[in-house]
Amino acid sequence: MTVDINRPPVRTAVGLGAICALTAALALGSPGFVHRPLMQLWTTTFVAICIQAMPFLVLGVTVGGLIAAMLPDGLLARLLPRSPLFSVPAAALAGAVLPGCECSSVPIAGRLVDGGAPAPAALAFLLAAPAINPVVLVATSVAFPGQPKVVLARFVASLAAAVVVAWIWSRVDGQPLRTRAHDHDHAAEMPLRLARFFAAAQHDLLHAGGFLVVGAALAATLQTVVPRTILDRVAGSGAGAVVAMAVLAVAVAVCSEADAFVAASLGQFSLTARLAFMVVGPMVDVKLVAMQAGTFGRRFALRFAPLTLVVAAGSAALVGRWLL
Amino acid sequence: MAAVRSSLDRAVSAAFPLLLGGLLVRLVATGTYRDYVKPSMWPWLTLAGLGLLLAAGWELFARRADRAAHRPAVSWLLLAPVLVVLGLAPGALGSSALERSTRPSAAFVTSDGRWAALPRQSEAIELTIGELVERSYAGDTADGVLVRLTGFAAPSEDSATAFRVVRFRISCCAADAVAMAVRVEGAAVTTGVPQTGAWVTVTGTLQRDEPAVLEPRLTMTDLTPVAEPSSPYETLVSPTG
Repeated sequence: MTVDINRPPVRTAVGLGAICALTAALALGSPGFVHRPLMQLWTTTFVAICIQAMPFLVLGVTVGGLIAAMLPDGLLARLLPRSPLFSVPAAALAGAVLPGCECSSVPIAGRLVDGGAPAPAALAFLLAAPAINPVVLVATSVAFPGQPKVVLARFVASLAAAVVVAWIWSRVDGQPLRTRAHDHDHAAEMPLRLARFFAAAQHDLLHAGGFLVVGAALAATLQTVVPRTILDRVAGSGAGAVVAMAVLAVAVAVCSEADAFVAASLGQFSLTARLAFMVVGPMVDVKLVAMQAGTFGRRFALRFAPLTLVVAAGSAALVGRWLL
Repeated sequence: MAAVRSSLDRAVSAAFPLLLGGLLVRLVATGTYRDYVKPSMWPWLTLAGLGLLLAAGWELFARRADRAAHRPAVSWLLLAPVLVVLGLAPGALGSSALERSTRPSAAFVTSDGRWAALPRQSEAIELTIGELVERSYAGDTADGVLVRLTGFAAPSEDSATAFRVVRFRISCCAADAVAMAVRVEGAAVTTGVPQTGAWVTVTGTLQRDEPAVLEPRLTMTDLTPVAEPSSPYETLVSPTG
């Protein structure tokens, strides 16, 4: 008799077993293990990123749940202009009202797609919202006091990058975006609004949250094993510095509400290079790509993330030359 | 297909929001959340925690006739932060994290000469290490002013006659920590450099440096060992409050 690993009871048992084994291993091995310097740095960074992101994740799945429960089917599709030429900038600007970071925008974008929003518009929202909302812009102005041009440059470069990526996506990828929720989410069948809301929120929490943890672990690992002195070596060269800061943004995965302070602290880099850090970070980073893969599928993330990285870094370089 | 959810399945589904929400509420209640994120995060952590507990309650008691929930394998990782906090209790960044941490640089200093002058008085002035570093960079310190600082000890290059007192400054969470340091010198140091990582309150007189110095110097007059503060990090005090 073969055991189907995908049958729910079997999966549950396997999962519970894994958790018990992990707990036992931690409990038995913990004292010496956590006090090694690198391990302590890793665990603290990992927990810090998870805890920091949790309120934003909960906000995101709550708004996503409300979209799933409250929006009549097809309303979004009717409201938004058909042509990506108009719907993309409109959706990107709509991102300015979501007071959160990238952990909120992934589940919300997923629910927008489920609610019938055209893929390019949802993607423009996904990219723009974490970068151009008031909370992030105020944090940026606090981190760069007396330099309002940095705030302006961030807004312009992020908005431009989000719009351009979504437009390119609408030209090269005609297929409608499918979220993973589509195949097995029974929320839509439920009669009660409240039941719909909780089902959608719980579903998104398990998906986006699981991948958030993967991303936090990756970011903590990169922060722990890559020595900061490597940065100083690449800081000098112009184009090299922009590329280095874009790569750093992908690797460290700092929340978009904090990245301005991190950028401000990397004073050995030019303002344009630091702008690249602030434009790329909210759109592509290890945590975000993991969450996108969880919501829209791995195939999507593998094509979408490199495109976004190139466009965002390019946008920051151009706007930096123009404004900074 | 399983038509009706078993109670085990429902309990497992509820466990995720229950444990996560419980963790957030517990971190706020015990104050240990300040080891990981900035102190002003507590209302949002509490709100998120209560929201998760509500979702767990719904899952347990209200969703009766549902089908089995689909749980992707990756969702089990949501329990990892809970296990790490409860099982390992990593605590705040300390001296062991110094080597890999960001040091302050010119652009990090955010105040441009907006400091009030330090009063010259016999009573020591309490300062954060971050403020002293910013003042020092702006050239806004004064010779001989008596100040008191709290941080953990770390070795200096000439470890017999000087040491550093360090405090991490965070803007959001411990992942963006910057190490703010003061160099402690003086005859009093030679009688005993505190152990690396030990929390101390140092009283001493400032030495005036040229502007643009990111590690101000202090001549120590008194050294008191203290317990690790409940808020181990300094946070950026923005001009707007």
